[in-house]
Amino acid sequence: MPFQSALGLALPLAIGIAAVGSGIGLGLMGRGVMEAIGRQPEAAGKLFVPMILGFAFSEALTIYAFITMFLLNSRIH
Amino acid sequence: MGFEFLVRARRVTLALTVLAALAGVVYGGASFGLALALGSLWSLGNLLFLEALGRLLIAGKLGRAPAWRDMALVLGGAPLLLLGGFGILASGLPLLGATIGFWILFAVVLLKALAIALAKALDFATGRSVERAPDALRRPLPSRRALGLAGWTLALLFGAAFVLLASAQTEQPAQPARGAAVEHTSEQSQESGEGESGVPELPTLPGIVAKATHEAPWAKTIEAWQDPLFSLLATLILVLLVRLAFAKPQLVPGRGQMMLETAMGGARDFVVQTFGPVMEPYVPFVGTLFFYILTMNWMGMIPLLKSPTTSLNTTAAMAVVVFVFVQYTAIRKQGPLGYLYHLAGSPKDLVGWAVAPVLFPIELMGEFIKPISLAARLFGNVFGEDLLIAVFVGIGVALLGWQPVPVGFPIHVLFMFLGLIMSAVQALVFALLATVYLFMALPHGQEEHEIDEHLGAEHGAQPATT
Repeated sequence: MPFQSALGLALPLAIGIAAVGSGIGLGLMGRGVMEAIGRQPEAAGKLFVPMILGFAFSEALTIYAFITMFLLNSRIH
Repeated sequence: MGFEFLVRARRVTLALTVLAALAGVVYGGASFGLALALGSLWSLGNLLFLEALGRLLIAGKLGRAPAWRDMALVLGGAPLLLLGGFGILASGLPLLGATIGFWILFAVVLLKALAIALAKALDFATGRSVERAPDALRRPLPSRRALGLAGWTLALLFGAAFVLLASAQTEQPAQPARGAAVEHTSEQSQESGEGESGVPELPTLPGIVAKATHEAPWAKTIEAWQDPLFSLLATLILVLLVRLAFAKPQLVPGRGQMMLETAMGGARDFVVQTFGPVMEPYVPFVGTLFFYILTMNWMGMIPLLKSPTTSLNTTAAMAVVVFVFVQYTAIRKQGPLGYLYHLAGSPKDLVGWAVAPVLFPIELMGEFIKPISLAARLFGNVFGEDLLIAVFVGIGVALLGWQPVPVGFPIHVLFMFLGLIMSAVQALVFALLATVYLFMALPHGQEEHEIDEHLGAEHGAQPATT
């Protein structure tokens, strides 16, 4: 398989796989936050910053895959 | 004529030298940058020497004993300066760089004197000199008008350099093209092909101008520089907004003032409530980051504009600023030794000291990874979101493609709402992470104490309510 077609197959897959991981992480975190807020609604303000930070770190992994895709995108053709 | 003027000139020159040396290293190679820095440092040494000489000469008149430091500077300075100058000349470093570096100080002094003279002339012309302090030099800072004038001069110079650059760029590639016409055309076709088959992008104002003028060189240059120009526009929007809203601040605020005060107060309250009052001095920095990034992100939602944050260059520049500020704060607040101790993981017992050599490189690497991930995160998110909108604009146009109408189906509007929210969240994330990094850069004891106090207050409040 020429490396162009390998790249063409691998790059979208890379994003998809990274998104699966990030999605699981985000889902777990969102669930935790929702449960916490449900149990203790007055803590919503306290939870906001850690939640956003956790989302940012978890989501960054997909962004790395996304950037890798754009770095290698021009080498397909 | 106080020495204060010289002190300020020296400070500005030092800052300019660092910038110029960095630029020299980037554009002219390491030796050029080094020559620039050395030339400027030599020039600064000259100034120091002259200053010491002046103080010595004045000391007698003032009836003060001459300071030993000045004596040593004058006696030791002359041979040292001569030796240093000879060394720079003989070291084979690029003479041009050293010369430019040498003149930085003079340029600064000249510009400063010019600005003060202009301010004085304007004061005289507008009749303000009567009510103001007679000596403009004694003022702690040059007057606002002088700053403004210097700013306009700089802007004009920048514009002139921009135009020169544009005209120079068009002529240079044309000359080698004659020699290797075939290669050049093939290269060009490849480039244009890549540009067309690459990422879909919404049209921007500079791009349309470039198309309308059939890719005139000046329009092409502006198109290539559209990201910095748009970020400049964001700055202008913010500055104008604030100036207009706070032109006449009132006790009972009007609409604009009310809005901005709410936003700024909200930013301050958010930081102080989350991190405690230690972070209050840093609210202006992170708040500016937030509003700046928010403006830039939302610019992508306006037709014919583009988010400058869809370029990695913009986000990387901001990440570098955050990095430098965090390191500066860390060294300033912890002291150089405390900074190293902090980087080694703050060892307290034998085990801590044993692990320190391993922890140190890891922590050091972490410090450098932080800005990279900051820049990549903001860029990736905003770029992805604008890309999404562009793709759906394309789909909307394709949906109505079977009819000869110049409009598309507006299915991208939904994603624009998503974009509005995501832009705000990303601006918040960037500013929040900058705050967290700053918070971690503060001395540990103080930080833990503050957290304990903060949590203690919360815990104390909790049983009372339940």
